[in-house]
Order: sequence, then C-alpha cells, then structure tokens
Amino acid sequence: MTYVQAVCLLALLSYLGLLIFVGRKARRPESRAFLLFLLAMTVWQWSVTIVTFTHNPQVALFWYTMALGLGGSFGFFYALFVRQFLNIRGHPGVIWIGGLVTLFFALWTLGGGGFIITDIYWNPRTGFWLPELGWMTYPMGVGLYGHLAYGMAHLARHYRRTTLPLVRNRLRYLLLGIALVFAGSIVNFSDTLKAYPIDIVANVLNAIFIAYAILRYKLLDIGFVVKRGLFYFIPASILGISYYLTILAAVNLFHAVTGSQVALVSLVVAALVAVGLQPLYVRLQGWLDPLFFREKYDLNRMLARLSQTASTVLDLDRLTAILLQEITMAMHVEHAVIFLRNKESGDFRPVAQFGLVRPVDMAFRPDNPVLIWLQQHRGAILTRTEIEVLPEFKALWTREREELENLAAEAFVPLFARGELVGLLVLGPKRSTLPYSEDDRRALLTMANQTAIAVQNAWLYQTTVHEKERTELIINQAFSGIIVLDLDLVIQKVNPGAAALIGRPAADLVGKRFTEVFGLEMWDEGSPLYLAVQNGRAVEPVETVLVTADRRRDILLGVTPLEDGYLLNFADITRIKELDRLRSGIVATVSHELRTPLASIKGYTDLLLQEFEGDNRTLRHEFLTIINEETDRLVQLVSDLLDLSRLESGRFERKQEPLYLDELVREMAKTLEVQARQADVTLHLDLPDDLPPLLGDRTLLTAVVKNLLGNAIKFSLPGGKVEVRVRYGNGTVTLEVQDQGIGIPVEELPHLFTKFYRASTARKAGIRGTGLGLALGKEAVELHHGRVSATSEEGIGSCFRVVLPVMDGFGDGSGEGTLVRESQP
Amino acid sequence: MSTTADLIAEGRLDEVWSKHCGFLDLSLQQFMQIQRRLFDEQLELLNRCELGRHFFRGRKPRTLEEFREIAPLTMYQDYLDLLKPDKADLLPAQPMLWMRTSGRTGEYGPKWVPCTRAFYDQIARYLIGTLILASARHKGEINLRPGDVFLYTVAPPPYLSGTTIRAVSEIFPFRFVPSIPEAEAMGFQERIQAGFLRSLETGIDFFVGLASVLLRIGEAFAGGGGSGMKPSTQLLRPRTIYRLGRAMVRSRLQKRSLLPKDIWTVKGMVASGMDAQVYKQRIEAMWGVNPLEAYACTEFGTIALQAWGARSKGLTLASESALWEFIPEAEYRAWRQDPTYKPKSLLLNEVTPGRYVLAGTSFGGGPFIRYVIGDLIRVIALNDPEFGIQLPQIVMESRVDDIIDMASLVLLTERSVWQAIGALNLPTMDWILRKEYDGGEPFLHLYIEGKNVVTDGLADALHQSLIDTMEDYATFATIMKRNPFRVSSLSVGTLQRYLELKQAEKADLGHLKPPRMQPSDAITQRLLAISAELARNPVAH
Repeated sequence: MTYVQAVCLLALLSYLGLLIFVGRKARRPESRAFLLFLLAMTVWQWSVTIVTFTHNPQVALFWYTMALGLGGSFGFFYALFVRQFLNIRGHPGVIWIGGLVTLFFALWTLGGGGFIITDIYWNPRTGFWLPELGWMTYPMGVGLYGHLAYGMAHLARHYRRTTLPLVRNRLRYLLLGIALVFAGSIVNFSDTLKAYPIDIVANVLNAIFIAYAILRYKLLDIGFVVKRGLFYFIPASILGISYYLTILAAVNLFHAVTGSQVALVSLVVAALVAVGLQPLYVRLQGWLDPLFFREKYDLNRMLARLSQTASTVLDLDRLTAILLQEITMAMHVEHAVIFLRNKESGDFRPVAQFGLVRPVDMAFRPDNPVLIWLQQHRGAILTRTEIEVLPEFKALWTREREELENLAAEAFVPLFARGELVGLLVLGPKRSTLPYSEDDRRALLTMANQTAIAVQNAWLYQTTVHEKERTELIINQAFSGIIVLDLDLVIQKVNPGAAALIGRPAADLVGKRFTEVFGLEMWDEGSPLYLAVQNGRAVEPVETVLVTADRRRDILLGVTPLEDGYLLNFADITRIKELDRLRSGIVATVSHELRTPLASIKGYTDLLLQEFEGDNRTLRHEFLTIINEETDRLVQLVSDLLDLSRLESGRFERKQEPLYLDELVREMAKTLEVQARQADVTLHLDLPDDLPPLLGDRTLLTAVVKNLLGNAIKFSLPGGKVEVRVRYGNGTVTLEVQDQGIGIPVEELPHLFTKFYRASTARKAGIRGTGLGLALGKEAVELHHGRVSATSEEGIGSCFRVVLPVMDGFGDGSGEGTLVRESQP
Repeated sequence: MSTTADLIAEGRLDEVWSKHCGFLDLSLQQFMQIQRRLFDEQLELLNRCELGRHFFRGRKPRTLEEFREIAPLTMYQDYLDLLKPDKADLLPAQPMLWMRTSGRTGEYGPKWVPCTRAFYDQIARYLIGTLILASARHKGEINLRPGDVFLYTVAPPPYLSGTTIRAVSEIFPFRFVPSIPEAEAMGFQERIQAGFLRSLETGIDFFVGLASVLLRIGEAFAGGGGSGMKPSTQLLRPRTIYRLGRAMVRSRLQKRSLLPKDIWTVKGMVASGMDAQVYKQRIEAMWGVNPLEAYACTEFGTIALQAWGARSKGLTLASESALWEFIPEAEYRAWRQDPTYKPKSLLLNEVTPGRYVLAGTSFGGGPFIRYVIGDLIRVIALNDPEFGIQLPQIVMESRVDDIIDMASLVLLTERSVWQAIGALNLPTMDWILRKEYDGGEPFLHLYIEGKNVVTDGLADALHQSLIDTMEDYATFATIMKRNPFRVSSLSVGTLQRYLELKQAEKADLGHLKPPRMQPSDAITQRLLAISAELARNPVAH
C-alpha cells in the first residue's frame, strides 16, 4: 500500500466514522445539514480512495465523476449547515440559488455533460490515474469555494461577536478545519501539487478537528454517541483480532485435522479462547471505562466515596470540606459554597467554601426566588441561565443579583432532608467552561440526596455542640452558684461560682451527698430543696444562710426539679447584706454627724434667744463661736459628701496644672502649724529641692495633703512627732506622713478608705470625725492615677503613703522636661 | 453569561422568549409576588434615604400596606427640589446617568429623571422584548438576529428613547442606521431623512416611532414624495438602485403607487401614541407589518406592551418596572379637588374593568413614590384567553387632564375621538379639539388639517360615530338633543409650520406639537394665524 492510498483510506474511515455517529442522532436541522456535508465528504473520499487503488481508467473516470458530481456538493451543504448552526434566517435566496447551481453542476457532471473531465491519464509518479479538468470546473469551483467562503465568513463573524468561550471553541475548530479544506482543495488547481494528496490530508485534519469539537465542546451534542461507539469498537476490535490470531494459530497447528475433528478442535479452541480472553475483555473494559467516560467515572467514584464517608462524619467543617473538595475535584469546578438554613431567621448562610479567595458574605432570604424555585421544582438543579431567563427571577433584588454575580454561581443544587430544603450547594463554572451536563446534574442530585441528611445531622450536631459550649460557658462564667443533684441528692455538677462560694474545689464536691456538704439544716422541712423534692415544683429563690466549714454566707437559693434531679441556683448576697448594713450605718452616721452640730447650734441659738447670757458679752461671744464652728463643721461635712459623690460618679471636672508636691506640703504645714502647736505635736518636714512637677488639680491634692497632715496631728498623742517625707523615683513622687499616735488595728486597715468608716481606736478615744476624709483622699489620688496605702500598729502610730505620677516629660529622669517654679518657699 | 445574541446563535430560542417576553406568561399571583418582593427592596432603600424620609415625613413604613397609608400620591412638582444631579445623595440609589423629558409650560422646566443601573438594564431588556413581540407572528417565534437593522429616528439621549438605544446597543449587536454617534449629533428632521436615505441601501428590520409619524412617512411615499428625501449620491449606490427598482416593479405589478413595504421588508414595527390603534390598519397596509403598541414613560421605562402579532386588544403591564397602583378615576378627581383627600388605590390583583389613573413607585433605587404618571387608562379585561395571558389588559385612554367634560354626562378622551374618527374611515388627517363657548353655550370645536378631508357633514358624521361607539355620548346626545360639534379646517401644513416655528424657538421636544385636546387660547390663535398665512401664501411654505 502506498502512502497516498493509506492517507486516502484514513480520510475515508474518518468521514465514514463521523457519518455513522452523526447519523445516529441527526434530529436537529443543523445536524441533518452536517450529515449531508459529511455524506458528500465521504463520497469524495470513497471515490478518491478507489481511484488510488484501481488500475482501470474507466473505473477511475467513473469515480472521479462521482467525486465531482456528488462529493463536490460538500461546499453547498457546509454553507447550509452554517446557516442552520448559526440560526441565520435572512437572505434565503442565497441558499436557493446556491442549491440550484450545485444541483445543476451535479446533474451536468453525472449526466456526462462535457468540459468537466476531458481526459484521464496515468501518473507514474503517484501511481494512480489523474483527471484532465475542463473549463466547466472553473465555474463549478467558484460555486464550491463561494459556498465555503460564505460559511467561513459567517463563522468568523459569529466568532467575533460571541462572548461565550464554549461557542468560540466550537467555532474555532470548525473554522480551522474548513479553512484547511478550502486551502487544500485549491491545491488541486496546480498540476504539480495535485499529484500529492494535500487536499486529502487537509480533509483528514478537518475530520479530526470536527471530532475534537464534538467530543470536547459538545458540537452537535453527539459526543456521547461517539464515545459510546469507540467504547465498544476498541475492545471488540481487540477481541476480534485476538480470536482471528488464535484460530489462525490453531489452524496452523492442527492443519492435519479433518472432518468431525475440526468441530471438536474448534470447540476446544473456542472454550480456551473464551476462558482466556474473558478476563482480558473485562480488564479492557476496565481500562477504557475511565479513559472514555472519565467524567462519569470520576463522578461515580466521588459518589461512592461520599456515600461511605458522609454518614460517618459528624464534624460539619470536615464533612463540608470533604464534600466541596470531592465535588470540585471530580467535576473540575472552580469553586463551590455550601449554604445552610439558619433555623431562627430562615436565611441560608454560607458555612463552607472552596476555591474562593474572599469569604462569601451573603445570605439567601427565605423568600429569595432561587429558594422558592428549588422548593417548587424538587429534584431539579437551577442554573444561572435559568435565573437569567425565567420571568420569576425578575423578583431578584439588585443587590442579590450583584451578590450572585460576585459569587459567579453557575449551578444551585438543593439539599433536601426529610422533605425540607435545608441547604444549598452553589457551584461555580467548570474549568472546561462547558455547561453542566445531564450526567453532572444526575450526579449532583444523587450526591445531594446522599449527603443532605448527613450535612443536616452534622449541622445539628455542631449547633448542639455550640449550644452546649455556650451553656457551659454561661454556667461556668456565672457569678451565681449552680449545682445539679441527682434524684438521690448526690451532687453531679458544680460550677466554679458554686465552688467559690462553698470554698472547696468542684472535684471535691461531685459525688458527695448534698447534706454532707451543706449540712442537715439545708434539708429541713420548709427548706427550698425539701419543698422542691416534696412538691415536684420549682421553688422561688428565698434568702437563707449557707454554713460551710470555715464561713457563713447569706445566699438566695432557688431549686428547680429536673427530669433526673434538681437544679440548685444560688447567689451570694453576703456583700449585699453587708452593704445593706453599711447603708444603715451610713444613714445613722450621717444623721448623727448632722444632728450633733445642729443640736449644738439649736441649743446655743435658743440660749441666745432667751438672752441667757445677759449682758455677758464674753459668754455671748463664746456661744456664737460655738455656733460658728458647728456651722463650719456642717459645711465641711456637706462639702465632703458632695465632693465624694462627684468623684465617685466621675462627674468631677479636674482642672489640671503643674504642681510641686513639696510646695503643697509646705503650704499645708504652715496652715496647720497652729493646730499642731495646740496639740503639742511637732511637724518635721523632709522635702527635697529638686522634685519634678505633677500634673493635677490643686484643690483636690491640697485637700489630700491637708487631710493626711490633719489626721496625723489629730491622732497623735501630746508631745508626739509627725514626720512628713516626700521622695521621687521611678517616675513617681511619694508622700509619706508618719505619726506616733494611737494607731489602727491591722484588721481594720482594709476598711480604712471606706466612706464613713472610722477606726475603733479613734471612736474609743472620742476623737470626732466624719469618716469621709480618707475616702475622699483615695478617690482624689486615684483620679490622678496614683495610689494610697496605709500601715499602722496599734499604740505605736500610723504611716500613710501617697504615690503620684510625675508630669509627662519629667518622669524618665532624663531631665528633658523643664518647668520654671514661680516661687520658692 | 449568555447574551441574547449568543442564545439566538445557539438556537435556544425558548430561552430568548422567556428572557424578554416571559412577563406575558406570568400568573397574577407570580406578578404580584414580583411586585411585592421588589417593593420590599425599594422600601428598604427609601427608608434609608433623604428622599424617602421627606415623603414619609419621618415615619418608617414596614409593609406595603403601611406604605400606602403613609406615603402621599406625588407628581413631578413634588420632586423639583430633590431631582437634581447635584443632589444625588438624597436618592435611594446612585444614578448612572440622568434623563430628561419635557416639563410643563409655566410650571417647571424640563423634568430630570435619574437612571440607575437596574433601570438602564431593564429598559434595554424590554426594548428587545418589544422588538421580538413586534416581529413574532406566534408565541415563541424569534425573528430577531444579530446585525438586524434598527432605524434610529427617535430622540437621542438624554431622552428616554435615545438612552434606551444606547442601553440596547450594549447588549445586542443591532446595526443602527444612522449609527449611534451620527444620529445623536443630528437634528430631528435630519436624523429621519438620513435614516431613511441610508436604509434604502441597508434595508430596515426594526422601526420605532409615533403612529402618526409612521403613517405620514408612508403617505409621503404613496404621494411620490419619498418621505421628503433630498437627492443624494446615496441613491446611486447599487443596492439602493436594486432596492428601488425592485420596489417599482412590485408596485407596478400591483398597479398602485409606491409604498414603503415595496422598498423595505420590515420585521417589526413599534408604534406609540393614542392614535396607534386607529392607524394600525393603514400603517400595516403601507408598511406591510402590523405595528405593536407600546406604552412607556421616562419615569418608569416600559409600562405595558401589546402581545405578539400586535393583535391583542389590550396591553400587558411590565412586572418589574414599578409597583403599579390603580386610582379609580372618581377618587383621582376628588384628590385633585381636595389635596388633603386620601384617594383609594388598587393593586393589579384588585382591579376590575374600568377607568383608572395609573400611579407607580420605582423599583431598584428609582426615586418615584406613588407617582401619578398622568395617564388615564382603562382596564378592559382581567385576562386575555385568546393569547393565554392571565394578567389584566389595559388600554391608554388619554392624558388625565386632557379630558373634555360635556355637561357632566360624557368625558371625551383623545382615544374616544380617535375611535370615532377611525370608524368614519376618513383620509389621514390631523386634528385638535377644544371646548369653546358661543353665547354661554358650550360646543366642541374640531380643527382639522388634511389634504383630502371634506368638512361638510363631518360634524354630523362625527356626532353619529360617537353615538355609535360611545354609550355615554349616546346618553348625552339623547338628553341634549343637539350636535355639539363644529368643524373648522386648517390649511394644509399648519401643524408642520407650527412645529418648525417651535423648533426655531428651541422649544422643548414635548412642546413642539400643540396638544391635541383642549389646547390653550394662545396656541389656538397661533395655529389659526399660521393657517391664515398659509391660505394667503401657500407657496411660501
């Protein structure tokens, strides 16, 4: 066989194959037109192939005539196909005229009209007969190439206009193929080149391009038929050849066998072949299956894997990750997102995504037309095209359209569980740019059916876990105590609040009987727990006392019966009770502090009104002095109360200015000098000269210093000494006021800065005071971001320490900050 | 995303139909679902913007019912301070461009209407739908093809028509003749002339225009005027010569004068205006295609369309253009008399056959709230079984303020007059109608302009025609026992001259022509003066 014959045979087989496959599914007009084109091409290839094999000039002439007469119409049929394929309806006259011209030339050629093939001659170089073409072939060629050019022009125009990659790909291969045919057949007009089968090679390439467009880009939607054909053809061919070779070998081996022995030998050979080749056939199918039906094969494997894993995974993140990964890998999808319904709002929110860079931030409202459509069309997948074309999707909001656009969603797969739409799998475009096929849709729906319940279970599980964690967190973080008892009143669970209240670790308490921990009095008749157990109803919280090993606490206890035990919910109200008591004390103190000077004022005023003093001006002066002092005391008390209230509520407006603590101390020492002298107390100041300034409120800090110095003098014993020291270091200035007075019991020190609190030693010594000075001082110091503390020893004396930050720029010791003191004492 | 052109090329014609004409297949329930859902979005946007707060007076309606209770009916005057390009921040959504349309003489200048992206897409989608319907002979037929020739004769941007053309050009590859940049640079007359001249070479597939304009052009051809085309080298081009030659042969073979249908094989034609129904048959006779009726306005884009084949009696409303409310005519009039009155309104699923004034609330971030378009419409049926349409069918009666009231017995609308004239089968003519008084006695003065119109006996014929076609008028005639019509003729060319003068005065597009119903005294006097001048000196024109 020459290479020319081989090429011709290959071309014939190619077109024959395409003809068979397309013919099996040529239902649409464009498929029928394409079938006619393939038929013409097949006739052409058939004729040319025979010509290359024949040595008879008459046979060659006949088949050349057939090629030109019948095969030459392929141009017209191609133009017809392009019109149908691109849905061109205008200028129908073009196709009518073209058809008539083609018909005329076909009839002319087949009817033996002259000037087509004028002669035929043997070409020794090619080894087959070649025709001598007459002048009529030129107008005939104009018709043929005109039709091809028409088809190519329309394909090219549409290629330029279309925006769809899929359509562009289909058109690209059609255009490329027919351009090759066009160029290849023009070569036949060259006497030199027509000896080579260039046109046939071009035809083969065209057939390959068409087949590729059919298989890869679903041209004419017959890819499946082609695949199916090849799928059966290849193993059948291999098996056929194997049978042939086996029988050939058998005949050679048993050439002496005759008669009935032939049947026997054949039977044996057939049995051996059947046994031997059957596994080969199965294996062949196994290899070909994934090769020819890769996508379907992958989909089936994906479904198998998912059906195994979906039901066993309860972790939602893992399950959705597996699901998305499997789908995107098996279907070659660019990205995918899973939305699940939120039970409270009914919205569908994203729970997992794959292949997207940004996190998806959108939700489907329950009335979103996408969800409504999926609910109405059970068992169907919604595609982007349907959203674009169906009128019910006009109800989509502008914002929703933009969100879908950003999501680049191509398919929406419903996840139904127990008849309810619980989720949505949104898929992006396929990497191949092909639309989702019927196989894809079936696989996705199967996958959705298999996994929806699993996804919902995982979702519920996750929700439950989250809910449980949330509840645990609430219980653990609750200030109140929560204890769960079983029906035998054995402690099952204790939250940290309860453990702290009881003063024992939770682990110590769990497993113990309630009465072991709380004592039998908590199980008295009329106790909340007793009532709850007896009545089986919740008991409203009541005040009671909890006595543990080392303490006694006021608590508010409520008991709620549970299915399998009792819930004890109790709050520590000891502090509230204390505060209550304190409040009562404060009221009593304030009343007392107000009443004492008022009584004094009232008494002396009455005496003055009764003219008790007579003409004694000294006595009157004394009375008036007492009234004046008591009024001052009242004013001071009210002023302190107001200042404290403002400081505590944060309403105090601080006027900040640079201050030097040593100056304040000096000023105040001077002011209190008389008071110290009267009390026979010596003030000793230890103040450095180079203190950095503070930024603070002069009035407040003066009050602090006055209070500390005044207290030190007031609580000192006669002849005592008060040491006042100011120190600077680490960005702070420290004021220490140490006296040698009556001192304060150590256990009372923590309460010293509580308002209205007065040390027992002061009360015993009968030293008057409101108990507001130190509370006020503490608030003032803390407002300046400082701190105040006290140490004391009863009968020895006390030391109060105030630490205040220095002004910014002076605290690092670098000396960068500069401030000129207006006056030096 | 598949474009319409792609879908057509792939032969997915059902999808093309569904995409652009699917609104005709909606059930009333689906229609209302779309309306309510899009309204929810709009309400959310309105509640967040200054314009919404302005009309809601600080309240925040949460439902459609609350909205109808709180929001007042509005007219363009209510938006004068709000709809300005420099105040776009007040609007529910940022506009991508602004459109304009004619305002009201003496009240306000041109109306400015913001156009959002959603609106822009919608008007384009509906124009394609209109053309599909105009060229379809049966349901589902798609005769639209990429490269089809679209004759560009309408007003350019910023008018709605030109804006729609631009929007369509972005989504479908029409061949516009003249091209969009050329057409937009031309004047009104120039654009029409250039379009027809070039279309002699390219042909015409689609044509949108006022019915009277379509008819006039046809008549110009029939009269041998060739639509007033000036001699041009264009006429020497081979395809033009071929087309004209073919047309001459066709007309000769049929032994009649040349008609547009001999020259062009138009696929679809869209006509707007009250007279569309009256002139349909004549337009079809001249152009060979039945024009599809379309109802649109700048504020809302497409309002309603006729079904395929242009044979349906009514028009079907577009579901996503606006929330449509129907105010019964009596309620509307009560509101106009007393602005504090709250007129009742109905939604589409509540209407019954009758006359209504249409009000719309924009969707997709548009600005209009319960906006009275100003058109009186009639709901003629609650569905159209012949076309399988399950939605109420409407026809446009007139501008709501263009109604002439005779003795409170009959309200004459432009449409009713057209119908009466149409029934007389008169030659094509133009007219205006005024209610005038003679010694305190009201009468209807019809001024007509037409080449072969005979005025003798026309008043009686019209009177009889109205008795035959209009029940109210028949009652009026029985009670009043007199013919209220008087007919005067205007010189041929009066209205054209008026238009030219207004153009020269740079009048707004909406005021180039005199109103057909009840024009003002000044306009009538001017028309009569022009008519008299033309009668004296017809050559000058």
